[in-house]
Amino acid sequence: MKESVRHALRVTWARPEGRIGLIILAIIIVAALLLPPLLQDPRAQPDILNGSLRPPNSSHLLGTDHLSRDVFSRVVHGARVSLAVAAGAVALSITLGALIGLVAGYAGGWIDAGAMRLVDGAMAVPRLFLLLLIAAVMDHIPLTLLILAIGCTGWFGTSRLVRAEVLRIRQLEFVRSAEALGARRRRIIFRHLLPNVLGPLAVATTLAVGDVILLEAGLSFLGLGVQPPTPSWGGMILDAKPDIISAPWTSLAPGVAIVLTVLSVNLVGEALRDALDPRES
Amino acid sequence: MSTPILTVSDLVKHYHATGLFNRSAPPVRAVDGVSFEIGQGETLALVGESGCGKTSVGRTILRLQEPTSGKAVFEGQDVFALDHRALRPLRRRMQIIFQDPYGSLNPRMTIGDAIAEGLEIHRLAPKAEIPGRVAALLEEVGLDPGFATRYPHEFSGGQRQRIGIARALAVEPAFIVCDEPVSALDVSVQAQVLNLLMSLQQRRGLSYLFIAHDLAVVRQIAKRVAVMYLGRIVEIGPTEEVLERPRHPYTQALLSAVPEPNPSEQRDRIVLRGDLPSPSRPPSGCRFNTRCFHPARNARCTSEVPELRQLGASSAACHYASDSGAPI
Amino acid sequence: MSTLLKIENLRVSFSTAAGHSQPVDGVNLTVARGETLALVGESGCGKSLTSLAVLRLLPAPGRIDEGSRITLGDTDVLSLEGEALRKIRGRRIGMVFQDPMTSLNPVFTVGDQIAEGIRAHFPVSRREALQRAEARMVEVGIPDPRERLKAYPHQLSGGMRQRVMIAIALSAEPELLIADEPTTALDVTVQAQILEVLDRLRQARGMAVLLITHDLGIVAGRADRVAVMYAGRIVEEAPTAQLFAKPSHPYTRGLFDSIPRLTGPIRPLTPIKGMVPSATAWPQGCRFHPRCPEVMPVCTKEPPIASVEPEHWMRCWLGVSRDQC
Repeated sequence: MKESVRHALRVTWARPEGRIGLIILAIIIVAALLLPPLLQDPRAQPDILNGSLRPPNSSHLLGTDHLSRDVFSRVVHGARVSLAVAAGAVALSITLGALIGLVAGYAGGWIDAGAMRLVDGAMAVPRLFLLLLIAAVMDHIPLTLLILAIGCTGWFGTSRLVRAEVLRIRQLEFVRSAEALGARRRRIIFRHLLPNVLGPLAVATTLAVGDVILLEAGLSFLGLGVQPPTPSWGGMILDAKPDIISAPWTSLAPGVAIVLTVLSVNLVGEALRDALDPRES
Repeated sequence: MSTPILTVSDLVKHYHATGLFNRSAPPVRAVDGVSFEIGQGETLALVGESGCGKTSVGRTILRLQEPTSGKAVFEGQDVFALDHRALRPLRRRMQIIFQDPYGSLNPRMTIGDAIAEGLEIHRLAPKAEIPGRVAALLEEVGLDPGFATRYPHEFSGGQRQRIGIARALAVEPAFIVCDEPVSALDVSVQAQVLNLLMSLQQRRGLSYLFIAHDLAVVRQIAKRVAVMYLGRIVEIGPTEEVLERPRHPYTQALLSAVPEPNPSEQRDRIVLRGDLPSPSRPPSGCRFNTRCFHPARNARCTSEVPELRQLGASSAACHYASDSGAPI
Repeated sequence: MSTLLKIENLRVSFSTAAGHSQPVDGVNLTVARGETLALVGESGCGKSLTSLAVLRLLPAPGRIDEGSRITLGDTDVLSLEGEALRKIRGRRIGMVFQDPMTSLNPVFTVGDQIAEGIRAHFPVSRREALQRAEARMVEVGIPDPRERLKAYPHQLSGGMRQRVMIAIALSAEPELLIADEPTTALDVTVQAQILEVLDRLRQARGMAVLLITHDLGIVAGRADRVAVMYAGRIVEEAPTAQLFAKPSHPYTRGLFDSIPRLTGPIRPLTPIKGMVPSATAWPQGCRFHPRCPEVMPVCTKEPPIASVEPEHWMRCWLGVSRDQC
């Protein structure tokens, strides 16, 4: 497993777009992890009367918002939230998708047919709708539930992808050999099928992260996701709506943050996919 | 022969079309009534061309696929009657090596792990001893024990076959199905692997079901041979006998088609008319009747299925084959 | 017999990020009109690349190096470009590949594919081309040719597909046919049929054949002359009967010793020890010397061409030291 991660990083780094993506992503992650103690409290509203909507200056790198909160600090803290949601939700959806894809692909028969019909049905419902439905019922979505909800609605495509790979691999004779040696199903799935499915799975994971960040930002922008006063990029843009023209930094800062993060993640995903292209091996 | 290690009776394996929309298609009758015995420490070769069902026979005996009907008794146990739990310990005793050196090893596993897998599954050695066992197996198949940490893509076809053999040997089987193990290898490498298989047989007392299409290879390694055509055995007997005095017309055609590497001893080739019929629509009666050139061929061949009957030292399934067979 | 194909000093090299290799390194071959020359060797010896080089169809990043010369009759093949090059492919040299399933386009009928070959070289209408295609199919022994014109490759058996490949290769009536392992993927009874077809056509048209194979049995039955290739070079060449009667190069002898026989006494097989070297690291001097049972100190130097008997030579020090003793 470690060997695979190292290999994946190496091949991504080898490509120019992958390198750029990795660098930007690394900066964002490091900033999100290490900067917060050094920054001003993102919820502090030191001087609403005079300090609001100040453009970028020496004491506020990216200016202040309508409640005189430091925008830079809010962006960095927002990164934490977005990345946490993304990591949690993607981990959940990839795990679910991989498990179901592996089992359906290997078991075949009615298990496979049943699972895939379920997936077909679920994919027919737009993901955002489902989340809005949940939000409608609950007024807003608490963070953990948000992660769960996004995670549980995001595994369908992955399961199909994994299943397709499994169907291809299980014809190969090393699987026959494991069966002949008396391996149980569990062993075959986790020792033989899963490691060979990691390639496409890795690509799907990185691309899913970008999707989730956008989804979370969108939900927060609609007021249904992360709730104030916890900073989030979507929420910041929502708050900045009235001041888009007069104080553009309040919406540009979180907006650019979203773009950069999703872009870097997509670049890494593309580089990985190109690296795994069979023509290249 | 004294108690055979494996007795197969009337093995049948049909493949049915899958999916909701083609249930009505006729099944592929890959194996349609095959019977034979293999003695302790003996090699029986199973030869035939594409579509004859020999690979299906090998896999079904090992229950890598479920048979449609028939019986296989291995070391006194009815292989097809066992439930999966009882089958597992039996799997140690019967193993398989494959034709394709490139698909038969998991590309994500070191070869050491691949060889050790059987040991782990059956708990044949404590963890600390496993590397030692793997090293011994690698040496036994003629590879450097230091290779255990490498991955399959670092090896040549011949080396991968050896690794596959080591993997099968790890569980100490009594019987190995060799499914065209040298067909995909270069000529000089074939010889290395064949020699290895033969010396392992000597040393460990292994029995082999050797599936192949190359008759010269079969002659080298097997004492007995069974010739298959469209799912049935058409001739079976001692190798020298079958190859020198083939009774069944198909065997005769097969032998005459083998190119002889000697310009001054070229054989007259019997060139078979027509194409191989589809295994889902085999001819009625004797399956070979559509291409048979035997002078006595008649309506009986189309209506009545010939059974294997003793003709001299071998048996052939032909209504009109003579006792002595035609020399090639 | 006059010489039709003459390959002189052919070198093919590949330069990739992984390194530089010369899988074909100084090959000299001639094929006379109407004769069959067999090029024998195992994987990695460069025989397929040699044949692709003749048609200038090397896969990227392969290149034919300076100093190589390939002439077909009077034409210098390596100097041709564009339309002139296209004209010899198919028309003067036909090629049959190993795997008929991947060599045929699965979405076109076989009739269309044969007709395409005809129309590429003759200015005929599609209907006329299909008629000629039908005639070609009769020639190669495909039953029910009119029906089969409309068949797709996957509807035909391996043997039928290979016959279609041959029909396509011969559709423009070439002077030379290059057949690269034409029967390796086929059953032995089908192989016999295909080789019969090739022989018949060769005789009827006076066509020359460059037959590439690893199967010494096919060589014994069908070839006039044999060239044995190892590690990018020809190591022995002779008329067929002479090569089989007196194989001289240790590699050739090793090959003969390692193949099981259908007739004669059953002897233990003596494999050639070691492995085929990789093109990125050819051994010094004689490329076979690390595996040779008769290796001598001088073998680390480039071996000369030594004559074994008239028309039979090999690239080996053993042929020379005897003379010098």
